[in-house]
Formats: sequence, structure tokens, C-alpha cells
Amino acid sequence: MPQLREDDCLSWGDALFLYLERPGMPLNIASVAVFDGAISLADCIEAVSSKLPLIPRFYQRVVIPPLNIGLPTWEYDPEFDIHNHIREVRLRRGNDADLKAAAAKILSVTMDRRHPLWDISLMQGLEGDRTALVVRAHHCLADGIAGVGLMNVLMDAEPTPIAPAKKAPRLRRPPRRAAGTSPLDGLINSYIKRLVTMQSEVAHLLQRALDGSQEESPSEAKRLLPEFPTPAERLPFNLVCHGPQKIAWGEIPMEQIKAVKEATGTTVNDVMITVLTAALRQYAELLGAKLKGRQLRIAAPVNTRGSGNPGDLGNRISFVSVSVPLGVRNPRKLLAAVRDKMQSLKNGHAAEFVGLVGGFVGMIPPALQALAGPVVSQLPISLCNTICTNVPGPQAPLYLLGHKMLRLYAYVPIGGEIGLNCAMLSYNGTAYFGFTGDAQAAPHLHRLEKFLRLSFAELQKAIGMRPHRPRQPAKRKIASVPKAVAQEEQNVLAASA
Amino acid sequence: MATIAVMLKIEGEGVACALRQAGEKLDTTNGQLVVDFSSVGRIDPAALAAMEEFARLADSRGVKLALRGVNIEVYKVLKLAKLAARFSFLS
Repeated sequence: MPQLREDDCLSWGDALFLYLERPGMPLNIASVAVFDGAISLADCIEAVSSKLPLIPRFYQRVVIPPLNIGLPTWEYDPEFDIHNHIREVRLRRGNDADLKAAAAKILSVTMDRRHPLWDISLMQGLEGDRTALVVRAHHCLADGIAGVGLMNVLMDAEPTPIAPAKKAPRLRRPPRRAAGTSPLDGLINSYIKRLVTMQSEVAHLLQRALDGSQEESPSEAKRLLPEFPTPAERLPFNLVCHGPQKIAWGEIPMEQIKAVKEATGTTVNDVMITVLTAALRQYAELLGAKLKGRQLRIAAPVNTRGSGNPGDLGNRISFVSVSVPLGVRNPRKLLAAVRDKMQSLKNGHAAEFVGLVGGFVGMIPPALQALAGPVVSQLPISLCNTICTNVPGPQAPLYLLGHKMLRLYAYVPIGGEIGLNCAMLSYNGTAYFGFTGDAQAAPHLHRLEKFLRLSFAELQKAIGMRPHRPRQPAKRKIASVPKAVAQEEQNVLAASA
Repeated sequence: MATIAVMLKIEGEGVACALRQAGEKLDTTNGQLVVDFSSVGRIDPAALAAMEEFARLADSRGVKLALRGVNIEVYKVLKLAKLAARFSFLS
């Protein structure tokens, strides 16, 4: 019987995603990919099956130790059946709104933990002779960057599919745990490693703080303290999420974003955050918020080991929080404010600091994390108003069975009091914005699609560029919200607050 | 065993092809083979299959493999493919 290896255990960071999840509030990463042409279920299963042996983790399920003492482990699912993981959904009307509604329904449900935590829904009947895939993987298995890497493996770079010559692995029996120490497998090693790592990180941060205070202004040291420890001022969409979830999408050509970047001496990320902020301002106003003097606190995941040891990259994800003014209506001034804020965060090492705090959270025994997780995920505390991810995706087209992937919208989960999030992903020359909203906390989520287009057009106009004329969603009319409905929803919001 | 590092650089998209050629070097390498991945932005199915075969060949010849400059996306795919443990990583 094989012995338990280090990579058979989940890291504490990955396990945390399991503990925080609760029914109706899944913690998955996902994407909705739209392809040209019709793809049958049988062909899809065959294509994915041919690639699966390259990703052995996809044959493994998560096994939680008794009483959550010790870290969960990866074990091969003895009942693995690809038909549990690839399903077909037939759309009724087949338009984009129908696709979003069906995808949101899928994304609102947690996955069956008895099996490997990934699945694909093949969405049939999409108008314009198209097919969509909703691809989900639990956050304990992959994050957004890994998700993009997985797309590169599951899809083809050429219209002609190339089947890798590799057979499925033999599903070995679960690893044996040493007698007497079974519940603590991996845990002690993990704690020791974490202590050593954190010790060096604390020393590193202190050194940088001291260097900063000697060479630069004293305010450098202050920048080490991120804004995270204090609650964010709530916006209308900061209500405890109860589900179901809704999704909305937007897209802007990368060429136009880059043109704005060049004209203003900013970065692509600055431009995207600016447009998102302006769109969220309009949305918050739609929900009745008074925004003068208010800030939007955006949490953005960052990799804190970009130039360090790649062997540790897997769980070295931290967050930076960016507070941007919601009262600035001049797009050019807003862009400048975002640029300054991002620059100061880069200089201030806030991500390393937050990562360190996360390291301390990881020191809490798994049994306590598992007990507290579902409670913590419902506490009425907003450390930020929204989470926003920005992942660079493939910049050349991908194919499935020769069908070109036309669009790729990423999904980021919501939870706690963060009822509206945004995943930004670039693919083949277009920046795709995927909004996720709780049905109650973020009503009329589809209005963000229009607000995003308007915000980018206003930014282009403000810097003297010709506004972007976007492709309109097929047969979709964005109606204004009837006053009676808006009032009714305001009442619901007020009652929930 | 003498540790003699042989350096190889993989250029952009041709990972599978380059690794097949690198496989030929394994017979003459006695120690460690360092493969520079700093120009590799993504891993496709063919590249992943080639990496597994490359690691298997190196194992059979007693050669240690190190990858230099691996980007985070490639690293995460190697982890999901359970290949990360078969390489050491250099920054």
C-alpha cells in the first residue's frame, strides 16, 4: 500500500476554501466559454477524457480526516466516472440572457465532495450555432491562474485536435497513514515549515520597513499597514449573501485599453480598475447610495512570490486592498487617483503584510478552522466592498474539437457580506469582465454591463479618444428599471440591512 | 556522482519538440540538467505529455532535472499534473 506523500495533503491555504464554503455559497473558480458550432456531449466527453490523464489531480477527491484533526488529503476516487463530471444542459430560449441564467444556476450550487471537485456543463441550444461550456473547479484545487493553465491543457492551440498519447492512471488505493499518527499526517510538517517561512518573512518585512524609514520618508513605514484590518464602509451590495447568484458580463477590446494606457502613462490594470470603479459607482447610485466622499475598497488577489522560490508559489496568494474615491466623476482624475493608489501599494509591500497575517490564520488548527469557517463566512463584516481578480489569459485562440473559443468569461465567487465581485480575464485580444452578484444584495446586476460600456466610453472621451462602440448582445434590450420594482427592491434591501 | 549542470533553453511555444531534443542530451549528462523555461508562457497538452516523458527518461538515467524561470501559470499546471515534485525549481 503506498505511503502518504507531501503532495497528497492539501495546504492550509487550500483547505481554508473547504472550511469557508457553505451550502448555497460555493467557493469555486469557474469560467463560461462560448464556442462556434455544435459540440455533442459524446464528443465533449471523449475530448476531455483524452486530456484528463495529463491532470491526475482531476481523478482525486478530497478526504477530510476524522474530526478535522489534520489536513485533508487527496485520494483517488475509486468510483471515478467521467459522466459524473460532464453533463449536458439544454437552454430554453438560447439567447445570452438564457445562458447567463442557466450558468448562474449551476454556479450557485456546491459540488459533491464524494467525488473530484470539478465539472463541466455543456450548454446546448445557444443561438447563432454556438455551444458554451461552464467549467468549474473548487478553489481548493485551483485558483484563477491555474484555471487559465487548465484551459490551455484541456483545449487545443490549433483547430486540428492533437490527442496526447497517455493512458489514464491506475487508480491506486488510498495512501496508508502511519499507525498512531494518522490524524496528524502532514500537519506537524506543515506547521514547522510555516513557522520557518513566517519567521523569515517577518524579518524581511522589518528590514524593508527599516530601509524605507532610512532612505525614504517615514510614511513608507505606514504603508506597510494595509487598510484591511478596519471594516469597509458598506455599499448597497454589501449584505450577507444568501443566494442564489446571478452573473453579468462585459467586454472591452484590449487594443483600446492599451491605447488609453499609452495616452495616459498608466497600466492596463489601472485602466481596468478605473472603468470598474466608475461602473460600480453608477450601480451603487442605481441602488440609492449617496457617494459623496465615499471610498470603494477593492480587494485584489496578488502573488507575493513572483520572483521568489517557484516551489512555494502554490499557496502564496495574498490580497491588496485598493481604496478608490467614488465621488470623483471626472474619468481622467479617477484614473490618476487609481494609478497613484496602485503605485503606492506596490511600494508599500501591503500584499506581503496581508500574506503574513494570512499565515497566522493558517496556524489555527484545522479542526477550529472547519468549525468556524461556515460561521465566519456569514459574519456581517466587510473587510472590502468587492473582490476583483485580473488574470491574463491566452492571447491566441483556443479550440475544442476544432471549434474556436469565441469568448471566455471568468467567474469569481461571492460570500460573507461581499455580494458583488468581478473577474477580469483577457483572451485573444479582448478583456472580459465577469460580474457575480447575490440575487438580493445585487439586484439588477445586468445593468453593470451598460455601466461598464458607458464608463469606458466616458474615459476615452475624457482623454480625447473616439469612444469604443461595443458589440451589442444579441436581441437584448437593456430596459430601465420600473420605478415600482426599484422601490420594492429598495424596501427589501432596507429590511435586510 | 559528479554534479555537472548542463544548461538548455526552451524557446516559447516549441516545448514538446525542444524537450524531445533535450531527451537526447540525457544520455551524455552526468549529474543535473537545467532547463531554462523563462521564455515559456504556457503549457499545452503536447508539452505536458512531453514533460512527463522527459522526467521519466531522466529518472531512468539518474539525471536530476531543474527548471529555471518557470512562470506561475506553468508551475501551477505542473502541480495539478503532479509533475512539480519531479523537478527542482530555480529562480
